[in-house]
Amino acid sequence: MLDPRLRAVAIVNAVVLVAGGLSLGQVRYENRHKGDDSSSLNTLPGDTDGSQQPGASPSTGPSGQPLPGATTGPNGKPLPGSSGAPGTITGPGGATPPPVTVTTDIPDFGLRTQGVTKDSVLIGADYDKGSCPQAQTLAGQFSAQATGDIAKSFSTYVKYINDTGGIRGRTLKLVTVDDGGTYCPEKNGSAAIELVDQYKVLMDIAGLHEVSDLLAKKHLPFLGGRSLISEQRKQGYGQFQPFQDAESDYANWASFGRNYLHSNTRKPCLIHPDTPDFNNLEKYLVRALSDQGYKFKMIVKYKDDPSTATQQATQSAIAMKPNCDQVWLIANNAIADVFFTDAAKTQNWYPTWTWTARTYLIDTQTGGALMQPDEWKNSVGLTTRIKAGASPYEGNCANIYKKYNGDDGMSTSASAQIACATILLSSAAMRRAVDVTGELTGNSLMLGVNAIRGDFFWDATVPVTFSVPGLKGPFDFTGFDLQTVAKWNGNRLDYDFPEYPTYWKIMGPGKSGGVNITHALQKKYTPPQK
Amino acid sequence: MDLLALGLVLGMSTALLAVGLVLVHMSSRVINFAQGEIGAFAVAMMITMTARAHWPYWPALAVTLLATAVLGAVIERTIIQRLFDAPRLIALLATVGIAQIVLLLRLLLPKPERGGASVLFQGATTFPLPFHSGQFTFGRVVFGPQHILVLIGGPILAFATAAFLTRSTYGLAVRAAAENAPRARLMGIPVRRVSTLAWVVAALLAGGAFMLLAPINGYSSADAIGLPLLLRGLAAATLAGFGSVGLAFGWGLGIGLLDSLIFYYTKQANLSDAVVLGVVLVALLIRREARRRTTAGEESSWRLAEPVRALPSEITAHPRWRALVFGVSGLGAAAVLAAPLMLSPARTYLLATIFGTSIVVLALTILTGWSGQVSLGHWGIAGVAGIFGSRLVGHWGMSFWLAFLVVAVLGGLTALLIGLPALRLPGTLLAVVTLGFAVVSESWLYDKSWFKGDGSLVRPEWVGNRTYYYLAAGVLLACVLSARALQRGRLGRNLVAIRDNPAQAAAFGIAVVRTRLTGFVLSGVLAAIGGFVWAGCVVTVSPNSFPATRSLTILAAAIIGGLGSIFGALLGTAYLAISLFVPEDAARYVGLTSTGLGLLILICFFPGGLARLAMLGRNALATWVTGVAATPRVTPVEATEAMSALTGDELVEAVLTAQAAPTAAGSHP
Repeated sequence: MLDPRLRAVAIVNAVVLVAGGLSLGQVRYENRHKGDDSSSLNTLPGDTDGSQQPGASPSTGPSGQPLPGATTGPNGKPLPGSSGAPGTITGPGGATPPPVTVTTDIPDFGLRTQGVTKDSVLIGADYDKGSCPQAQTLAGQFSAQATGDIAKSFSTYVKYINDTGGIRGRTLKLVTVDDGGTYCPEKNGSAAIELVDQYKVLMDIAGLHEVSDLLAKKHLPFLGGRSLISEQRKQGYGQFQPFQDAESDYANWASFGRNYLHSNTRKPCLIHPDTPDFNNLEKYLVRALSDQGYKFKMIVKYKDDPSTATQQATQSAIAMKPNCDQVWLIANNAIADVFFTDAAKTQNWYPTWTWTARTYLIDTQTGGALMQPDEWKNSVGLTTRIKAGASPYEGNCANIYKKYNGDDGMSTSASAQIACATILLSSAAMRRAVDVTGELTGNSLMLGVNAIRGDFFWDATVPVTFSVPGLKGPFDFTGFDLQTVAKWNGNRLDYDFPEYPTYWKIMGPGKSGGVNITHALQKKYTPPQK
Repeated sequence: MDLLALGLVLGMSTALLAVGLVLVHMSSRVINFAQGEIGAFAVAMMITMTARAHWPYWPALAVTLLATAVLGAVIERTIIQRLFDAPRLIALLATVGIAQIVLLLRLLLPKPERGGASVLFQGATTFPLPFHSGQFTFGRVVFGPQHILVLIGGPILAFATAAFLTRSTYGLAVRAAAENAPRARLMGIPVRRVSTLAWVVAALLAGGAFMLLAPINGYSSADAIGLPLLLRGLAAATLAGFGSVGLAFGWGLGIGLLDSLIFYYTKQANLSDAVVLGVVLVALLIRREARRRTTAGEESSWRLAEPVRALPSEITAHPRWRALVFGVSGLGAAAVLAAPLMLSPARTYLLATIFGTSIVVLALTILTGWSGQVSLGHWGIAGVAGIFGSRLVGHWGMSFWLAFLVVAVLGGLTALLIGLPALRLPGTLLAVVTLGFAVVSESWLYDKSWFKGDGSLVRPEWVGNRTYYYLAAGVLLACVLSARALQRGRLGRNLVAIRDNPAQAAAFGIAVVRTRLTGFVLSGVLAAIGGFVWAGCVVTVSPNSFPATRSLTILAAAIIGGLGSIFGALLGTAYLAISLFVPEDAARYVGLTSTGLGLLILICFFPGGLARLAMLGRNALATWVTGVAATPRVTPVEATEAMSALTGDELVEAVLTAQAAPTAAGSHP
């Protein structure tokens, strides 16, 4: 007979073994239920195995890019929507015109096709859900209080799309995954694996370029990602976003400086955070200024840490005061801008402040309202905003949100705005892809994207255009051209648009996307002939 | 001169922060990560009182200072007192959690409104001032009333603190308790009450300093006080030996001045981080300091209260216990081997990253648990391996495997470079220097074109997901076995001996500095290996992959697991990784457990860490299974060894504790 205690040990071992096996089996069952299969087991971020799609054209590079200078797709045929013809204006709430199906050949950009059935389309979105273990921060834990409930917002606009016809008869489905935020590479990687290999989505609404970089390696289309064309081109096709590319933006800004602010006869200086991303962007702005025949007198890089940036604001103001009469701002939040303009005031210094769409928060009314009226009075910049009340679609996002959720106070939250913009944009691109090509694949999606660039979609603040990697490739897109001049009006705490009539004449309903107003701004400086 | 004057004004924030850090360290022997947050709370309170409730300046100031003092007292009475006898590392980690609580309090305070929305941050000119005249121009700088206020108020605060410490009875008590707490208690000084008073004074100091500087620096209620600012204060406090308020103030001003001048002339913020760290390292290298009793006591306080003890041989040799161990070990090994076959690709990938992280935590266990030294920047060494490894492989075309070996050596050299100045001197210098290294690496080193790669550490093509998982598991196993061998070898024993009693170890002929340095170098090698394994898993590496703040998470894992225990290192890493594996709906809440706030709650109730809990469970199970009492028995030889390891002060402490034990709780002075 076994000793009773030894028997107990054996029983415990057996129970643990069985329980462990059952648990693992359950996990495996759930994974299979989610669509996992063994072919995806060997895929990690950066893996090349399994990510190259069958049928990729041999004439394209590893990432499916066409040869520079090509004006047609990789298959040599003209691209639908690539002629620069205006895209259609979406109706209120993003409803599109009746579908006109034009079946056409689809170039092979080497993008994945997955997530589409005859009844549904599955897309993904990644954002920080707060699961990343970080002892020193509460990032993500309280984000809902600060920015609104992003999950609820996404769900709201997906419902809206499905209530307005879905994706040409298919139900739109959205799966969200936790990307852990900027400082969590583990979750960045697992988010990419889940989206591509586990859930097999058609495309992702990328919250971080750390995630979209990995998606690009796996040839999955995504909304968001890198801002520089040079970086996008490295990644190949598949990226589209509602913001202009940085190079074109800076080319506009440099030209704006020369032709509007007359920076070439003044003393312009630049302030930006001392981070790898912003240091990289600085090079492109300096190059754009050089193309216009002038340069910054001084460049100040401040620490991207609020507790020390505040001190540096005063030091910067003192250093710049004798050398600069124009200050160019690049920042990804308004905090530093407030500190810098305020510090300048303490030094009795009131330069001209200028910015462009890259300085996101001060490009909005909220951001502008944070500035002190007397110190912000000399501000003038380039913006993608439309004059308040001018668009027929103003308030769309908030109205849609309220329709589904009532007035819970979050209809204008950042979460609602982001979800509205990304879901409506993605859906519009997918719908147009079906219209133009008759089918919905990773490759056709890019044609849909190309077809809707320049359209208006949400809340009247930003007309949408898209950056695509092939600057000289199949898409004839040559940069963002839809900007106007904005000056802060300290009396009524909102922006004035001194160039607005011209802008709206070109950009108004029915006129979007086709005309370029930047011919006046993008003039390059030509030195006089000796 | 004008720039010097401005540098002095702006350097006042560093100087007063350093004074506060010294004060708390004197009373509690802990580096207070919450010092800056307490000051920021005072600023938020003042803004609420003046801009939201529209109180006049002076009544608002009085209420704010009162609230700040109460906050300091509450923190000390509810958390610090609870951890009074806990190892100082536990208390240090607790202050990280305290900082988060204070930040939450700050966020909850009513904010002034503009245009119907709460204003979360404000420029300098919106903060209230007691007077508005006196503006003058000195050289290039316009000095306003806010600058005058700092120039007057800053020194007053510092001198008042110094006077409190040197002239008042309570100040003398604080210093006495700082110098030798047990002897102070013998002299009838109420050490714990004195500690409360010190925290109140430190809170008032922080509040006063931040309110003085807010009219110059502006204010953000949404952002935490970052490590760069804290680093400068810590550097000044370190250079002052954490023992002199006046010196800390002076060094703080000096560092602030240097910081200002570097930024003014180079226009590059991150460069000043590197220079400040360089100055600290050089200053430590050229410094000669006699060992003081205070620092000796402080060193011994870093070790754990109770180590994880092995089971008696009667149990380990028992057939039932051996069968259980064999079964559980086999099950564990089978689970590790089978995991990639059973789990989703994403979870397999996450497990592989955790193996890499575990190696870094293990490296810290060797350093802190066995050697008694504290590193607040081990993730920085891991980052050196990850970032430079990506350069070796991607930029120079080196083989992945050769790069693995090269970065391991590089990790050791990095540790040598950091440790050489800091380990020569007693105290917490290594903690400050390593924190500085992590901050400088993130802000400066990782972005240098001669150091970084092309943003990814690409593995050989044949190494896929599953293969890499097994490789990472194998490397972790090798590291664990190496650590065990180290622990049982001569070096491991010497490290523990030095940790327990450096003087006695030296008397036995152990080269203290060299042994410590060897331990740190080995720890650096392991950290580099872990960093490379981790980077090879996540593939995309950038400065964002190795933030300085994650070094605190690594330290938290080591502490929560139970310092000194290899098993504890794995346990602590697993604890912090739980949130990665729970369903996403629950992740946000489970993730709270790994924040400083969650850890604070955990360590308040289980200061011995998870390894200690596991040990209690193991002992109970062993007793049940074998019928042999599992409580480790202390043999006379062990008791003698333990007694000989105590310093004189600790013997006094032990006697006091023994005397107090029979009496009712609360009989402590």
